[in-house]
Amino acid sequence: MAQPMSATARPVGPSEPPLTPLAGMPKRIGREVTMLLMAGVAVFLFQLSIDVALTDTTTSVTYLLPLVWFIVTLCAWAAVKFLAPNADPLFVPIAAFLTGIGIVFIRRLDRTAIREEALPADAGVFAGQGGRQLMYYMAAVVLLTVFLAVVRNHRVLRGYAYILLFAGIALAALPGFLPASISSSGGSKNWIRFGSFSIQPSEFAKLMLLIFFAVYLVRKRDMLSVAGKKILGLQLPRMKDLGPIVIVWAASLLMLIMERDLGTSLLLFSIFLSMLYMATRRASWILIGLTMFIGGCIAIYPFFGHLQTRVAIWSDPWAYVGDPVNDSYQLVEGLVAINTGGLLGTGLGAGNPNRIPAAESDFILAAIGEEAGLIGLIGILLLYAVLVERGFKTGIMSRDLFGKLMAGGLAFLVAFQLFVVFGGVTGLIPMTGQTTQFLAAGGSSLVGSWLLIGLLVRVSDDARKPWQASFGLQKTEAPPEFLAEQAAKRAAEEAAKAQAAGVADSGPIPGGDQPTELIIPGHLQGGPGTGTVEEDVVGPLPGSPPPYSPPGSPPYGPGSTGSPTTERAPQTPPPPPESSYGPASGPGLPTRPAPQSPQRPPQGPPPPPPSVFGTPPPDPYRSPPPSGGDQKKEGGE
Amino acid sequence: MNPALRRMGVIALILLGALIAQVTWVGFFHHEDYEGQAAGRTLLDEYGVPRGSIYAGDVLIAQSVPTENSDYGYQRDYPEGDYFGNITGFKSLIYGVSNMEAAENDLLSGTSSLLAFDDFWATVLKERKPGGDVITTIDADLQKAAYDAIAETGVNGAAVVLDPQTGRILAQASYPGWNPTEVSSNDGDTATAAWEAVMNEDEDQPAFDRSRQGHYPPGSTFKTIVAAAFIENGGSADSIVKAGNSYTAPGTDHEITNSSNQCPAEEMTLEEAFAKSCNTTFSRMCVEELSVEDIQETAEAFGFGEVYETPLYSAESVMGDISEDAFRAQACIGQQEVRETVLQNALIAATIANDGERMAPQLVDELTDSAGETVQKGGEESLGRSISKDTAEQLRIIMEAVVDYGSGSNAQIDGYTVGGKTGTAEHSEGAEGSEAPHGWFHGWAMGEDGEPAVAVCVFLDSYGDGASAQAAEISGDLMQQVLDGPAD
Repeated sequence: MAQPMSATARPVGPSEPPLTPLAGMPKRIGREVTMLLMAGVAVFLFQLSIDVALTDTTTSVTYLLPLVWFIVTLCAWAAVKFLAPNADPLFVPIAAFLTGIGIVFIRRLDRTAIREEALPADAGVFAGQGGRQLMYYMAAVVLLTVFLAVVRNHRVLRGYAYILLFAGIALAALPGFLPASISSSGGSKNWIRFGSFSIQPSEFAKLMLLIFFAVYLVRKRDMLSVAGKKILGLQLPRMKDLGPIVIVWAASLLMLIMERDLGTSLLLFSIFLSMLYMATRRASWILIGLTMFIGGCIAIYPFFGHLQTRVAIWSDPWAYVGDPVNDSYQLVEGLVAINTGGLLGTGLGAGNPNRIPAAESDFILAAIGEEAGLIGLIGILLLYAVLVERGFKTGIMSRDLFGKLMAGGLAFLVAFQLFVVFGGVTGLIPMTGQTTQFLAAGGSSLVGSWLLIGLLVRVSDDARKPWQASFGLQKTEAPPEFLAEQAAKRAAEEAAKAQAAGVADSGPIPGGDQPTELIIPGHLQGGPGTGTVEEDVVGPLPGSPPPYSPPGSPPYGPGSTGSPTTERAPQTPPPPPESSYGPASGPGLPTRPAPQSPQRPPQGPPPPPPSVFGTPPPDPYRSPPPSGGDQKKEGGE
Repeated sequence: MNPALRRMGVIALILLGALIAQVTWVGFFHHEDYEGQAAGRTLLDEYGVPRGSIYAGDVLIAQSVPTENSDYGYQRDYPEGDYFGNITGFKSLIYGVSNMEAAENDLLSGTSSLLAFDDFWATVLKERKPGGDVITTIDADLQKAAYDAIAETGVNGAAVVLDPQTGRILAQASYPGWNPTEVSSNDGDTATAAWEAVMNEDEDQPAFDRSRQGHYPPGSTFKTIVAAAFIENGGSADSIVKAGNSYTAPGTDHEITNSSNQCPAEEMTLEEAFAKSCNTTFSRMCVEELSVEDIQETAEAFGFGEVYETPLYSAESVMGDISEDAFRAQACIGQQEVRETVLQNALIAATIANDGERMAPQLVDELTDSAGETVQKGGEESLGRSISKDTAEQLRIIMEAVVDYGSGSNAQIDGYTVGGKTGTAEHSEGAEGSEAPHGWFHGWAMGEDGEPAVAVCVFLDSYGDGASAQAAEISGDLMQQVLDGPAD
């Protein structure tokens, strides 16, 4: 489906060498387990100090809750280890830690609730909102596992781009059309309720639309990055390329109007904008997009009371305390809570975070800020920062454009959502009513957050795994002239055979040899991140190349050393690549025979090379060359 | 695409950095905005530790009791109920604090700087400390006696008993009183209902302290001030002053008479005229012999126009407009626009008993920390000399006459020198018709050693006939209770 890309892509900048060494990134299981254990200890201490502060005693829940959380976390970790063994070791520990803090803290808020019945100290592990959050966590881990098991390679998702688009739009738009009794909550219409069960579809719509954006923008990036007029030193895109951004802009505003959900609208638009920038590297898109969105908001501002309310409250929270129309009580309570916490906080369990309305959802960071202080808040922000930057790193390491863009978009989503939520809580920007990922109470939010982690893990697993033989092969993808030479050589050979002459060595071959010899060392040495691993790879090469089999031999090197020898052994096509590619990757299949074919070349070179080189890789994304020189592949921009 | 990803990564970091900057700004720096807004949260803190108690002598009149199953650890309780409600005030989650609870709030809530070294680390760590106690100068038995005595009369009223030499307030009762316990309840409904009942539904306004917050026409007790002005300007107890059954001031046809034609003689001594409370004498005196300034200066010297802070605030006593002769003639018998608080009137008697030196009235005897260690003593403070010693002596002579053979004989106490002045003040709420007159008595008594021992003022709101006699009776009883000392 992304066919046009390989034909048209021109590197915008110097192409970048891949970051993953041939043997893949280290898995660091030991450190990962250490991090999980530390997170477990931290969550337990968190729970312990809360219980001691609240009741001076511990109950079974003090131990049981962190234990259950830890077991669920281990399940999540094991699932990831099993289904995505090469994934970045930081994702699961950070996400699990944040989730654990959230669960413990939500239960703590239940314990001293003042707006409803407070939870007794000896209530069970699954009691109250905190308990429900723990169950959501379990559900999230189950869904994460299912997701990882079903989607064995993130590229599969490209095939469902338009399904995801329409599903995303439907989910995002649905509440807007439902009666307010089903969908309205706190001024925004972004819920779907069935009895006591309610979901916030926008949490999932975000991810679906993000995947679609990634597919779409990768496909259109060349068109979208074509330069148009230059105004005031700013390189603008062409007017006729404004279509997509206008559509997303209109959709965002429509969402704002129909659902009065500034947060999701803002989030969707900024994800699109950031991904557009990442795809095209044109800052003008960001400028255009922001201008459009702000312009749109200003245009509809006079007609939407809740928008005015939020801006008014934001501009001066203190003036609106108890104001019947624009009550800033919640914001002010949040600010006061954070201020009360000060540097060190009042101590876990020793503050009064329940005074903040919605302390367990929108304002959970303010509540944590009161009890854990500035230090605790900054710690949590740094956890998010690490998560976000690992997300970007995953994007940078990813071997295909779709993976890059999706990982970058996901990472930015986490950062921007946090910015929108916490910026609103601290009065940096007007409140928009998004939930804090991982921390805030709410099943949709938690499950959505963990699916996001699933996507990142999926991309990361692919980006960090060892290079496969097939990559080596495709890396040397022959330029047309090489194929021509092969054909010529073959012709010459046959001619020679026909003449029954014994001289086959010299003659026409030099031309044929040359590219391979250039290419092989080229991609191996040029493949940076050169570690000892790679030296080993290079090592065997000199001895192995039979003089006559240039195209086939190089793959042996990396193939046989980089991946277990067993992978090379079978003559039957499927097993080795399947294990890494997954059966679902349809487009990948045609290339599969390729790795096997090289074994034959020594005897009969003619057929295999064409099969490898002649059929252009059906899917350019699948074949990122470690070589810096091959411009047909995406080596970056 | 990687450079764009890297840049986006930096942008994401900038966003998170902005959050860190903002949360530091919100959380770490103090903002004036948070004052007041933080009240609710502070309140919870405050209720988490026991608030200090208030004592009248050694009688507990306000305390914090632990609650169960509540967000708030403690709630306020006023064991002595109605007697002290207007002194302690209330401490309510909803309505805040009043009276002594407000005046000494810092100490009671433990935030006072007086307690800074009480628990040094708690101060450094900004932890809540249990509050210190306030020990008032009130004599609990006397307070109850005063309250009960007014209650028996069946009308509203107030009484203030002072120690003339120190200004210590021994009793400050206002009837009807009220019990602030319910208003101070942590239960919102109870508190609201009680508040409604006390503040809005009860027409007697029990939470209105008649001894200091209300000022009333002082009637004849104001003659003490006129007499003081007269003596300061050369008169004495023996000076011959004009009397008569009626007097009409220039510029009016309103005839001033005496209540029962008790002063038929045209002339008599000041002592006799004062003892008999001849209205004509004092009206005429103000019009013919004293200037506006003389009267005003004397009144101000006694404390008119001042707000006392005992530390409970009192209303100021006022003279009103006395520029016209006709007004002055009325004002000098305590009518017209003259208004006095009961506290002020007691203080006048106390000043005279104390040789003219006015001592600041005070309610706080001692402040202690939560362990009972004294952190501050009440001390005594002079507000300066109101009248000369000689004037005070002359005034004591004529005031003694009031009790010995004049209108205030009900206040006599066997074996003690007692002086005072009765007052009956006509007043009307509306334009037409007079209501029953207020009864007043302010006076003093000398102890066995001849030193001033006690000063008192009793006010009976709209008591009617015999009002001043009744007030004198109560005053005598209260002074006797002080002179006899604590009943063992």
